Amino acid sequence: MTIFNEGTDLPLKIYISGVHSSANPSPGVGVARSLRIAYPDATLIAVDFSIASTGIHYDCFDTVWMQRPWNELDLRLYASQILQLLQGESLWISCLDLEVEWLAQECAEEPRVLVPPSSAIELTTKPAIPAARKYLPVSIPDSIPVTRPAWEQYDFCRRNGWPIWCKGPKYEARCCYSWREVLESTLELQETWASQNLFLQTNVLGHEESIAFCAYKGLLVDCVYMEKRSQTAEGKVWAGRITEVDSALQEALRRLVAELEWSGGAELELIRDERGGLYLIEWNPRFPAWIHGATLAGHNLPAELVEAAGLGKAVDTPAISQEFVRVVLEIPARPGYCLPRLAPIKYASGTLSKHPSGMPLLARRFGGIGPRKADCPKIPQITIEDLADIDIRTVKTPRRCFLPRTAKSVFEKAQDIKERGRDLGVTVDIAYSVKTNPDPILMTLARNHGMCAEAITSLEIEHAASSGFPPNRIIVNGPAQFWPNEILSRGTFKAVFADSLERLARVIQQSNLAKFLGVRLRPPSMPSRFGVDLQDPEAFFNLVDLLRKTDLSQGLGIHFHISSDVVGTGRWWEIYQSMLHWAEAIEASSGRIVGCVDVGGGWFPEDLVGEFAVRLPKAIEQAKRILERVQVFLLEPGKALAQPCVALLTRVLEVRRSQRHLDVVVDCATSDLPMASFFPHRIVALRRDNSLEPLPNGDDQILGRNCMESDIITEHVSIPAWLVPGNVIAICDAGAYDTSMAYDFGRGRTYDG
Amino acid sequence: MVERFPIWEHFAVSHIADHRQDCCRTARAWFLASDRSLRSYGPPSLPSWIRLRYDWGPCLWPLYWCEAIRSKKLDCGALTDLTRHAIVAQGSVALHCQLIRKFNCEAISHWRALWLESGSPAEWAQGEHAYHEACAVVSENMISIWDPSDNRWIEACEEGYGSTVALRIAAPQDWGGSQLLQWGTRKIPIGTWVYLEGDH
Repeated sequence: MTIFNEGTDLPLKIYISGVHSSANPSPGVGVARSLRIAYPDATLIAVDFSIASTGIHYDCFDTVWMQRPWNELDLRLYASQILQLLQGESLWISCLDLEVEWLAQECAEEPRVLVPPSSAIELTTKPAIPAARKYLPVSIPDSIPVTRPAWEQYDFCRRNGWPIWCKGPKYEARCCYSWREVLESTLELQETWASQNLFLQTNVLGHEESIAFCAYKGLLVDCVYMEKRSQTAEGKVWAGRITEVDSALQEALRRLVAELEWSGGAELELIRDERGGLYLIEWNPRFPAWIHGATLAGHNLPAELVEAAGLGKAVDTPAISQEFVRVVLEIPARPGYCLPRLAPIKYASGTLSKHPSGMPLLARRFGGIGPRKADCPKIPQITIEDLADIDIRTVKTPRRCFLPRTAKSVFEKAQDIKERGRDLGVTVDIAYSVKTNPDPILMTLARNHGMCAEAITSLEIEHAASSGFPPNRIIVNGPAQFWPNEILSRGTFKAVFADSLERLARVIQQSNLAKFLGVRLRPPSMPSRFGVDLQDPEAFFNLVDLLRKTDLSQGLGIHFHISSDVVGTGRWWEIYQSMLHWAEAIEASSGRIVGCVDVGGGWFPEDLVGEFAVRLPKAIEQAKRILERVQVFLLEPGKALAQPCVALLTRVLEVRRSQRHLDVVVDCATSDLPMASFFPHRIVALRRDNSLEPLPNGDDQILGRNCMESDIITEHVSIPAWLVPGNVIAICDAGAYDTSMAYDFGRGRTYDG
Repeated sequence: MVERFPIWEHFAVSHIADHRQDCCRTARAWFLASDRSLRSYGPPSLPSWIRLRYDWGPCLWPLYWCEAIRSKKLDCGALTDLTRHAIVAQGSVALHCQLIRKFNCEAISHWRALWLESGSPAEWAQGEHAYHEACAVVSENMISIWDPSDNRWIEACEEGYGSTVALRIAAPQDWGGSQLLQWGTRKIPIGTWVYLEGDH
């Protein structure tokens, strides 16, 4: 049977572009297999842009129209060639997202190029996918563009928790578990896709599902639902089940397709969470690569699309199975198309081998990366005032600069948190962590604001004592609290928390050591070297046995400490709740009362005020509900107090200009700022007239003074053109471990002085 | 003609025993606190951590709480009983589900060898079929069957290798819920073995 176009006597030809087949396949081969069932005599032509595209060898294709890579194409000529090919006899089905976008612009008037209008693509572009938000009963996961200040991006990461997805504008996503990975992924994807339009998106836990549909001129022709039952490491489906789209969703989709005047195939990638909530993460303007799985279930969407476009009646596609799997097959290579030549080993894994259809090359044609545009971080007014007081002409650098107004504000806010606890039926105390910055100014601020001191060694206990903290205002933690000497009994400490069962066995023998004795608990599933491993039932039994041996008059406490910016604030609260239940289990098993809950957060300063303080009343209420006789709630905010209080001042030694960016060498080093790569620091350039310019994200670098490859202060900043040697840069947020863990390096001194 | 399996119809569901002393009290406290820690908060999620912690394999019965939580391997009955306790503690309704599942002779011969080698009885595996226990999670009158040994749902529409040929939902004596539960399109009366029609 020969298929003829309606009203002509020409056989049907269908061009299918994007046919690479790998573990991350393009849809072309699946589209061709489906069309071959419905149009057995049609001529199917594979189009691709490199002989590395394996699908060109597939025997479903009658022939191949091989193109040069996108960077070698005259796009205007190519568009005219396509339009000429389609004169009266043929159709074009694109299976490449970026090509669809290009065709929508170049061939908008040609109905035989089965792509949606540009306006529809615009409205379905991630991350916002505004059309879907308006019409479909789905949620869109929160996101933030990477053009926002790094400070805000990091805030987004903490609040949404790790992992975070770093996503390219059209293709590729990287799962990131730390700020460093976010920066690396951003750079890599920007480089590959020549675009600034990347974004970070929150991770949704759930099962992956998809909707595939075809539509012609705004009429929804057919759609299917697919549940992924097995997938590759990259998340590509390897076994799936096809079902009908729920009627309400189908109706909403029908209205949306009409509104968008959609033509062509499409795939909506969804995640269904445990509550059954549906999240739309991608809207692809082409058929999915698994489209033949739908055909096996009797929904031959490519054929239905061709038929809807008026190119002849399709042969019926029988429903064979609602479920499909993928297998890997070896097939003979097509004569006339040699395999990719062997490349020198060091170049063997280039862009073309990963992207045979050359989408990164087309992305580059679309725009090119250009200079990065980003907003400046907001610097609090009081910090600006603090920095304005610096005499930049005379200041010796590198130098840590205490920011008095900023510090006052931070400690007052913390004091306010403590005061708020008064009405909650327990004593709330805040402990300043000596190790975050033992500077006497900060110790005094802590004492004057009614805080306790939290010490981890006997040296820190001495320091706290000499800073005016009486024993009953000192909390002792840490794995070596007896170093370098056993704790000197100056009186009864507020609390002592052992880091191990071995230590607990010792401290419970010391009478009057502390009002509350207890143990640090290691939450299950959290990688940590600290505390009693609750995952080990034997450790729990031993802990309970030890607590049963304590003097009945001894107050007992539990302590946990997890950095909220490492786990995300949401996860931190989950761990908090689970710790209360562990305390409950300890009470139930030991018969002893837990009277003190000590929570450590390593909180980021913004989160302490914006997150923790807000939820404190509820947190205490939960603690009281689960531990009926809890009396004291201790909060150890860690770096949250010290971090904003100090800026590191450094002077520009040299400005190096290259084609792509500026490198600025400064007189500080990562030894002066050891947390440089762990979280974004707000950076401000100081003009000679003492005016300030906060530096936005960018491609420039600030390099440390040391002769070490790793001595890079930041690689993601935009340096102002006016900056010259001798200018001063202030690196904010350097008051905690950036100060207390800084070390002498490159100054001609030994460790022992 | 549906093949029946009278030997297994009289099997009682597995319950982990309790010494009613500190040892089992502490073990239960550890188990429930672990469950709260290892499940994400929010909606009642399934305690899949149990299977990740304990390998599936033979264990000796009677099995006490203080022994179960320290075990390296637990069989389907122990995994199911732990899972059911965890689900119930989170406020959901879960019942024991006994199943007969079809595999092939080779699978059965290996299981029998493994169980007998460890000194455990192997009558749960015979011919091409295996007796199995899982958790029926009840929502109104509908059940979903969670297989704690596999950490996956058992689907009502499965056929062929590994499919369910019969099941019984066991409810406690004070069960106040419906006596007829629905699994997919099938009605399952409580306490009665139901043989499933299909291509078995």
